[in-house]
Amino acid sequence: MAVIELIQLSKWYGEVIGLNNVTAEIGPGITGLLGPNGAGKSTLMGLATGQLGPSKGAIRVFGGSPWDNPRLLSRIGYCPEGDPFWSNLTGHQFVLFLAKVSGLHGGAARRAATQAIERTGMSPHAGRAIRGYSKGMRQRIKIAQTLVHSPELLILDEPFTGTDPIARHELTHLFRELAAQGTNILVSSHVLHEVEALTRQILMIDHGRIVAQGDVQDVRRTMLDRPHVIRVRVDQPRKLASRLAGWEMVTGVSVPEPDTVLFETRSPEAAYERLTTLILEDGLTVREVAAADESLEAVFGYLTQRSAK
Amino acid sequence: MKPAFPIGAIAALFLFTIRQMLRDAKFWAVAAAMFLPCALALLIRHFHPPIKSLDPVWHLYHGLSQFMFLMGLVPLACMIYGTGLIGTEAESKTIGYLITRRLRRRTVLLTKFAATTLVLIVACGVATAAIYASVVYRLDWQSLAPKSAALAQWNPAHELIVYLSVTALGVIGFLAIFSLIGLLTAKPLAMSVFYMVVVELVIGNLPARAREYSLIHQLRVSAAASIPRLVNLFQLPSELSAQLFPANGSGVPEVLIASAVALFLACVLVTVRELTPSKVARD
Repeated sequence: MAVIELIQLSKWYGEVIGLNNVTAEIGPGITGLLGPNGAGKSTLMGLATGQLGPSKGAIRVFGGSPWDNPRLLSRIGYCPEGDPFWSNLTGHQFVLFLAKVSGLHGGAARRAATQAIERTGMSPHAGRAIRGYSKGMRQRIKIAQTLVHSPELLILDEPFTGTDPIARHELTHLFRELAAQGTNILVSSHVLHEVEALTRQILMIDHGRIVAQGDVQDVRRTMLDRPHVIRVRVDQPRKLASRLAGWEMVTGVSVPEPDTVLFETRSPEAAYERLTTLILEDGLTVREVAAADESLEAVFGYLTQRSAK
Repeated sequence: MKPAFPIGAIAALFLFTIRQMLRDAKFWAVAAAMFLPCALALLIRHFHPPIKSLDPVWHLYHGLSQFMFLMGLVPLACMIYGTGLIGTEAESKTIGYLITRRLRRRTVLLTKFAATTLVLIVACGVATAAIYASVVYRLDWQSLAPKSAALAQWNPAHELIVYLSVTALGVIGFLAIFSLIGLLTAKPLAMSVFYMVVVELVIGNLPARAREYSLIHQLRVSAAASIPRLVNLFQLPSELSAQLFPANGSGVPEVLIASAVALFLACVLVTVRELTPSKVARD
């Protein structure tokens, strides 16, 4: 069953389009929401958390409309983008207050707040005023308030922004752990390799339209009109490059590093097969053969470029 | 299963709103302004020749309470807080935390309204009492007593309670009106000033029935209904006096009905409108 359903969903602000007739289902687990600035990611998250209303169509979260629906919203944890804070509060006061507003009482609220702060690694700083926090600390305390009422769905808008590599690693681990425990997560980010570390399930939007959805590898395989780039780490790169250059199916070859050959092809399956034969025939020593551009960056770049065309 | 009526969440937001108000420098600036009539009274008393009759005392007390405090400072404080009741949270984007939780949008509005009303009523109440105290401070009651028969009929405690009640009524009414204005328009302060000038100061003082639509008029009526002396106190022409303080009606139900209608409309608006500016919502 889909956690979030977008049904011919449109959202516009005057003449500016936020989302344009989007129909999609976001399933359980972790889904990465990707897109450039102004693509409509925050609009989608605003709609999913009932802060924005659709201009046309509908959005369903756990089968219901999130607009002014406290029962449904109490199953969602929302981490907004930017720095929306009552900055005179300490981290602990902030999380505790939102625990209480989420319906937790007294001791249960205090325990939940302490636990959420611990999980995000903010315990040593919880007694300090938020106004004195670094950007990374602010991100983590926002995530703590997201977790405090143990929601079934986390909606995280750019949660890695401003965090240092250690914090990113810890947060990635935390999100994976939560997902393993059954929490659904929709996470947006510009830091694509971090989303890639978190999930292969992606939803890409650009100019208010979905440009791709699904497993990142499946998405990549659908792009038959673009050459696949294959990387081969080999002991005789120049010899391999000259052989590859003679193939009709190969559209480009380069030797970017002393032990690496990159080549482009529109027929990856056939190229892999013929490459195996070539390696055996020429007695080359190969350390790695891999698709060079199945990373999210490559897919993202290609899809948004195609969408713009 | 969580309870259908989230009383704990409401209590948390109520206390949080009060706490945030009291920790904000803006509140203390507004509170200090509330004491301007009191300071003015002390100043006048200081430079005024010794008071020989009760008339100047009454003029000072009721003049400051009615015209400077009730018609000036109370609406001003309510304007500052009413227009920002939801708007301030929307501007800082913290509203997102509140409306994506256990509380309905209208509950957020009403809880914040109740907390703000309570704080302002207490602040205005203290200031009202301070006006009275500053007017009667070091008054020579012994020398006044034989010269004024009116003194025997004067019940300052009653008048103070009336002013406290009318002030509380004014806070409820103005805060409700300004909360509505805060949700109606993108420029709530400008709109509120326009409302104050046109509805409260111009229409509210017109010698016509239209003035009954102004809160200030109704508050004046409610004060006069409990302090009949007010009608003739300022020695205004009898026709004007009758218009300003009509004998019929108490003003209380009118203010409460107006407040309820304004709050109802504010609840409707807060329920149907997006509280996040669209430019904020787009990434």
